[in-house]
Amino acid sequence: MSVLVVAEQLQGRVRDVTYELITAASALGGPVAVAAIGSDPASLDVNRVGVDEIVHVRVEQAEFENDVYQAALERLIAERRPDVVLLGFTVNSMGYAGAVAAKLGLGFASDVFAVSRDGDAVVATRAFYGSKTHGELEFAAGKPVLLLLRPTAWPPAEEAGAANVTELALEPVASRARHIEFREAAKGDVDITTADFLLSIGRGIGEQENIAMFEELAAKLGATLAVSRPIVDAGWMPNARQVGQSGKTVKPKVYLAFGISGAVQHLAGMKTSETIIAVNTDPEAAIFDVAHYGVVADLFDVADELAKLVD
Amino acid sequence: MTAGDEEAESALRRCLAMGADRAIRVDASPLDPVSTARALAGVVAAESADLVLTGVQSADSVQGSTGTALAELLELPRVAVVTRIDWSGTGLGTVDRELEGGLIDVVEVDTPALLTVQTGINKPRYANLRAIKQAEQQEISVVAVDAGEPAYRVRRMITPPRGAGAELLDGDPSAVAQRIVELVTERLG
Repeated sequence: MSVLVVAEQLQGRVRDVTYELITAASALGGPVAVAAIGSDPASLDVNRVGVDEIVHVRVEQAEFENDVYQAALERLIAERRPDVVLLGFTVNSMGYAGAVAAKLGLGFASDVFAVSRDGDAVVATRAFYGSKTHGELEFAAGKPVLLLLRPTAWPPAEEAGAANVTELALEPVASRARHIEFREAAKGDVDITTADFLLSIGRGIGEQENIAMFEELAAKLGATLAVSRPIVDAGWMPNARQVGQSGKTVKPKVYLAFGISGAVQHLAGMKTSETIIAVNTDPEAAIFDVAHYGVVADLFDVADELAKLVD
Repeated sequence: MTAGDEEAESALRRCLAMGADRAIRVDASPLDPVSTARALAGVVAAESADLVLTGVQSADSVQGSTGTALAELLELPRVAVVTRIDWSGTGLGTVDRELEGGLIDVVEVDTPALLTVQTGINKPRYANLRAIKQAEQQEISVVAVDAGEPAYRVRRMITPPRGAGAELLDGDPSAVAQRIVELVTERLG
């Protein structure tokens, strides 16, 4: 089953998800081709065990642009005719993968965390309804299947390989949405990525007024306060405190979560913490999938008792 | 505008109450993002909008791809995961695209365009009671479409084992709090 992986790069560096895609691709049997798209594709290190061919696609644009990647992927699919195309489920892929699938009529699914073959068919597994159910999706043979794989769901391919390098010519792409510059999100007063102990709060705290008591509790416990996305969206805490895919990836010794249901994007940013303790009223909350210790209770009752203990 | 069955109309009425002038329900419940985009495309095209805004992803499926597929079907430039829009109403727009880790990619985009907008881009206005009442009376146009073949076949749905790895801490809140303090002290070393 021939597989094409599109490498993802940012400011000249290959992003980790690319190596995870290579692991997933080789498990499907191969041959595996990896496309390196950029102004200097040879500088992108994607040569790993499991890769048979590296396709350099030279383009004018140094950084990701939707139209450029779309044109490159369409050309790659037309020329290489892969059975399966794998991209990371990332912000960049969200900018062009759906477009390619719609244009070429491909089989398509995103945030996939398991892929297998069943004869000539491809079977992909992804979550629905806040991870309450998993769906196994079947793609019949005959047309390429484009899958966006969940980051961190596969281990990265690490060992250097011996792939053939080929080139694919692409005429200049008139890009309709052009990269101007990168800006770092505003730096906060704290760096949650270096803290040993994070007390992290989510939507379950309910009201903005409740932030103060958790700030106080964090201070008493010697923890740094972190938050999940809804708290930042509501404007209650700055982005610098946010854990998750669009925030920071953290790996503290202890991650103590209050009222965080555990959206996939959040889990991606904290699931490798050494010890995860989660307090949530919903026994079905997805955070309990990655927690080492779970408390199904009213989070305010537990927070109050904690505050008393460390007073 | 949304695609869905009658249940989807409550969401549209909230939009009307918050200031939308018109609402359209595309009467289709496609499974996958490409089919959803196909269901929406004709109706969106008929609006000839200068700017088409979609969300980044739905809460139930989280595929993150309907907007991008729709832009392709409408032949519109697009930017995904937008957290800021600077546009005067004509010509080029400048938008922020939020990458993983919070890095911002500033992008210049030709218009008309489609943007998939990230949550938190602004603070939604409140719908007052009067507006909610008015919205209840307002007509929602319903358009029937055929979304065509789905992008996949669902072989089966399974309920994953929940919290298999977590040790549950039982007891009243004070006992649980005591145990948490012990664990934290032990793990911080």
